[in-house]
Order: sequence, then C-alpha cells, then structure tokens
Amino acid sequence: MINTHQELVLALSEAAELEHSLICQYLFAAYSIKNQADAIAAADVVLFAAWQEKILNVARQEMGHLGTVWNLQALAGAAPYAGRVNFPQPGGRFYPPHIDFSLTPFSDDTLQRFIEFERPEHGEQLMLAGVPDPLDYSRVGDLYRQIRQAVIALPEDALLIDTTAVEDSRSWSNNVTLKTATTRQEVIDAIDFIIQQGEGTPGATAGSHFAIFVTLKDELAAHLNAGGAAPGRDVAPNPWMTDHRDAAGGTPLTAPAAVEAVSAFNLIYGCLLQLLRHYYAKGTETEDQRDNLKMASYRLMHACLGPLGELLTRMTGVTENGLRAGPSFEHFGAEDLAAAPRAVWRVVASRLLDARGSLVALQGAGAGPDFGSVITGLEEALDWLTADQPA
Amino acid sequence: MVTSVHFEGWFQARFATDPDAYDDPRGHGGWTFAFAGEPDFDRVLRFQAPVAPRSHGPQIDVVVTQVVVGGAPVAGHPLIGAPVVLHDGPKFEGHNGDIAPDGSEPVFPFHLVVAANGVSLEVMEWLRLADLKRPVARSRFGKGVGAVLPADQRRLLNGLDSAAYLDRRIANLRADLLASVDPTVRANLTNRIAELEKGGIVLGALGFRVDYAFAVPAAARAATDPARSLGLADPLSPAWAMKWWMGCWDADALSGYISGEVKLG
Repeated sequence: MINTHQELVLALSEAAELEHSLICQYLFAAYSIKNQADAIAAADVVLFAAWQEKILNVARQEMGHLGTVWNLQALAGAAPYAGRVNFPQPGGRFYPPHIDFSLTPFSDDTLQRFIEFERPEHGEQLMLAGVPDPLDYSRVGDLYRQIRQAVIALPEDALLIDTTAVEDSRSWSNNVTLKTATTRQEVIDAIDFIIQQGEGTPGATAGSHFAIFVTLKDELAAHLNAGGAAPGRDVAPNPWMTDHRDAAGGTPLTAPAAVEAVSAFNLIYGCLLQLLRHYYAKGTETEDQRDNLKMASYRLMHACLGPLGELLTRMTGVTENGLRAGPSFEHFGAEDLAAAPRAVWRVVASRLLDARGSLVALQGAGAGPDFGSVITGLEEALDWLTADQPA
Repeated sequence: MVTSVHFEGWFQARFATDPDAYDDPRGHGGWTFAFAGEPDFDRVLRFQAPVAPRSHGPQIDVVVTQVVVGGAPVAGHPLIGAPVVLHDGPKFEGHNGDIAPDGSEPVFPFHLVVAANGVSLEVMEWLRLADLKRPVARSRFGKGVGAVLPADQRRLLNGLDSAAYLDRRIANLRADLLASVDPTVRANLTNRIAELEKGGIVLGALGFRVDYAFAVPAAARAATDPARSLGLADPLSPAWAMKWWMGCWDADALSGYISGEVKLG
C-alpha cells in the first residue's frame, strides 16, 4: 500500500517507467508494419496504414500519460523519472505484471500482450502491509488505482509539495493531452484520465487502449483468415548492439551498417530523454529557451526517431538468421548529466552532431535506406538547441 | 526609379491538416491525405516539378508574368516567362501554432531565384529556423486567412464557382475510375472522390487567401543585370521587398495559387 510521500514518489516513478516501456513497445510494433515501400497490394497499404496509425495514436496518448506523471512528480517535489531497464524483460522478472516486456514486430502475439497490458481490472485492489511496501500490481491500471488511493489518503503536505513547479500543459501535438494539477482533486482527475484512456470505465471500454488493441487483433485475424498478407516485417525481436546485464536475451545485430544506424537511433533517443528530463524539471532556462527545448524535442521525436525507427526495419539481413533491424531503445547505464542547463544543452548538441555524422557517413556510403529526412530533422533540432543556449 | 518583377502561377505543397500534427506523413484526421501509391507528405512548396501530381489538378508552374520599370510594363523583358524557383525545400512553418497560427505560417527557408537570358534576381534566406519564434521573424508571417477576390477566383477556377469546380473534378475522377483496373489507382481515385464529395472545408479552401509582405535585407540580395534591363545602375542599391498572396487552395490537388512581386526601389 502506498501511504507515505516516499512510496508515492516511488510509485510515480514506476508509473513513468511503465509508460515509457509501453511507448517503446508500441512504437516498435508500429514501425514494423509494412507500407508502400514493401511489395504489398494497394488495399493492404491502406489497411496496414490504418492499423499503424491506431497504434501510433495509442503511443502518443501514452506520451501524454508520461508527461502527466512527470507533472505529478514535480508537484510531489520529485524529479521526472526517465529510467528504464533494457528489453527484453520476461513477465515477472523485473516488473510485477506477468506479461513479457519485449520489442516484437506487429503480430497476433504482440497484440495479445498489448491487450494484457491494458486489460481493465475494476475489482477491489490488492492491499499490502508493511513500510515501505514493495509495489505489487497486475496491470497498468492497477498501479494507477493504488496511486489514486494514496492520493486520496495522504495528507496534503505529503502530496502537494511544490505547487509552483514548472508544469507542462502545452500542446505537443493535436493528439496528445497532458494534465496538470495543483490540488488533490486535480491529481485524482489526472489519474482517472490516464486510467480511462487506457482501459475505459467499468462497462464502457470503447475508445480505450484496451478496446483499440482488441479490435486490431480481431481485424488482423479476419485479414489472415481471408488469406491476407502478413502485415509485420521480419524484424529481429529485441535487437541489440551490445549485451545488457539488465536484460534477458535479445537478438544481436551483426551487420556493421545496421549497428551504426541503430547506434545513431539510440544516441538520439538518449538525447531526447535528457532534454525531456530537463524540460520537466524546474530548470533555470528562460521561457524562450524552454520553448526552444520543446521545439528541439519535438523535432527529435517526429523528424528523427519516428522516421529512423521505420527506416531501420527496412534494413534486411542484419542478424545471423537474416532478420531485419529495428529501433532497440537501448540504455547503457545510469547517466545523469549535471543539472546546469549550460552543460545539458551542450552535451546534447554535441551528441546530436555525432548522430548526424554517422547518418551522413552511412548515406554517403549508400549503406541502407535514405536517411536524408532524418539528417534534416537533426539539423533542425540542432538549430533550436544552439540558437539561444543558456549562459 | 521603382522596378517590379511580377510572378504568378500554381504551386504544390503536400502537407497534413488540422487536427493532424503538422508533419504527419500521410494525413489521418484532417482534410488532406497521401493516398494509395503516393509518397509521404514532405510539406515542401514547389513552384515547378511537382511530386506525384494528381490528375486533373492545375498545372504547377510559377513564372514571371510582367516586369514594370518606372511605372511602365516592359514588353519582351528578358525575365518574362522565367521560372520562379524556391530552393532548399521551403515549408509553411506553423508547427500547429507553436510558431504561427493558421494563415500566418512563414515560408522558411525562403530562397528565391529568378533567372533568364543573363538577368537574375536572388533572395537568400537570412534567418535560421530558431529565429522564427523571435520578433525578428514577425515580418515574415502571413497576415491571416482572408478571402480571395471573386474575380481572381473565377479566373483561376476556369470561370466556375467553387462548387462547380469540384463537381467537374469529381466527374473527371469518376470517369477515370470506370476506365481503371489497377487496384492502386482505383483506391487512390476512390479516396479522392470520397474526400471531394464531403465538400466542407475542401470547398471553402478554394476561397482562402493569405497575404505576405516583407523587406529583404541588403545582405540577402543578389542580382545580375549587365544590360540594365531592370532600369537600375546597381540593382542591389535600392530597397528590396517581397509581396505576394497565396490562396485558392485546391485541397484535392494539394495545390494553391500565388501572385506576387519582387520590388526594387
């Protein structure tokens, strides 16, 4: 049971990590879906694009959930938590839910896991004894309901630590909603919003992530039963550049060009996390500089990680058994940059330049797909980051 | 002495519309879409050489139509008919309101070249992307959504009103659909017809107009005119200004019309 400030902060960090991990898994599956670049029928291009958009839209809403959780952490006087263990994580090994956390291409099995993540549980909640209690939960919604109970029960001085913390309610995209809170009721409303978007309400799951994945699974079954083409590319599950002690297995990438491209992806991904952590923490940047942080982050998400994630899945024969590459979302240990804006902005800009250099070299060597739009996106992000750097 | 180089024509810009993200590659919830068989949207404004141009849309070609020197049009001026080229992949940089609201999106980067018969004018970009959120870029913004003049609209829509213009397009596409057996082409045409039949903003956009006007800094200009056809001893010495309107947005063809001038002096 969550009944202290410390337990609340830990639970919010757990929620942030869960949302973060779900986003990676949903994006990986979405990027693996075949499109007009593959030799598929025109009708399949339309159908698969619609499926991909549904998953991407769920991922965007999860990004809104992550931003909302970071807002609640700020209110509770905590730093935004962007940590995450590497993939794969067999069910129950690291996270309490007995569901595999795994990067796998779009398939019936993948959708079944997504359904299990979001499955509604509207019954009584598990109540645990002891202080500090270990977190135990069976589904995403279950964890949020425990946090909700704590928010109702905790005294305000353990909940509303810093109501002046910089909170983000800005629109990141027309399909992303972030909630802010400065009162107990607003915190409860924000948590209810996350729960309802994930699993719906008792007796009414329409439009929830759970319902979207159930519908997708049914549509995929109908498509395959009618003799339709497999929609997922043969992407290596849980691809990695290097073995990770916090992960259980995975598929090593063996082709140098793929390793280089995935390395660039992970470099950009790490930079994005550094920027977002800094953006959501109460920094000393001016409002204009915060705007630039947001613009740079947006370009990294939309113009770099999104297109590059999909392009990686077009790189064929990059593992020992001839599978395709994919965005591995790899972490390489704890790396907390200094809190000073000056350091963060410069380190990130330097790394983005490195990522750009890698992609330019790959492009020049004709190794892999056309990375031109990603390179342009990196240059745009760099422009936002270098125009008005904190002194 | 004032010299004006007038240009006009249809341009192409393939981008998603609200409520989609400004850089959505296919369009999902708005009123413009990349249909079957078409490449992803890239948002680039093209005055020539359109990408995957749609059938029955306007001919994409922005050219110099008139050169006026000292108030008098110059017949047979070397620049007349010259293509007006935008380099470096310019886009409407509104970013869903983060940079500019609807109808105010600046065109960035702005690198315009007009050249023919040994005469050339060039406007080079002088801002960086991150400047677009700063006051220094305000003059580059559009003046908001207005209405295209009725006379311009009739001329550009081949004498038709908006509804008749779309009806004719639908009829042409239906005829193509009947004659087509390729599944990709059929899917493309079917989707286009369905979107056109919705009317709504697709109909209304044919009446949109956005005006732009800004001065060009000295460092951003270049010109060649050895025979002084522009009527200026040094074409770089007077003030330069860009002024144009864009509108009559044909959402089906992902095209719009532009009419404007480069003014020296």
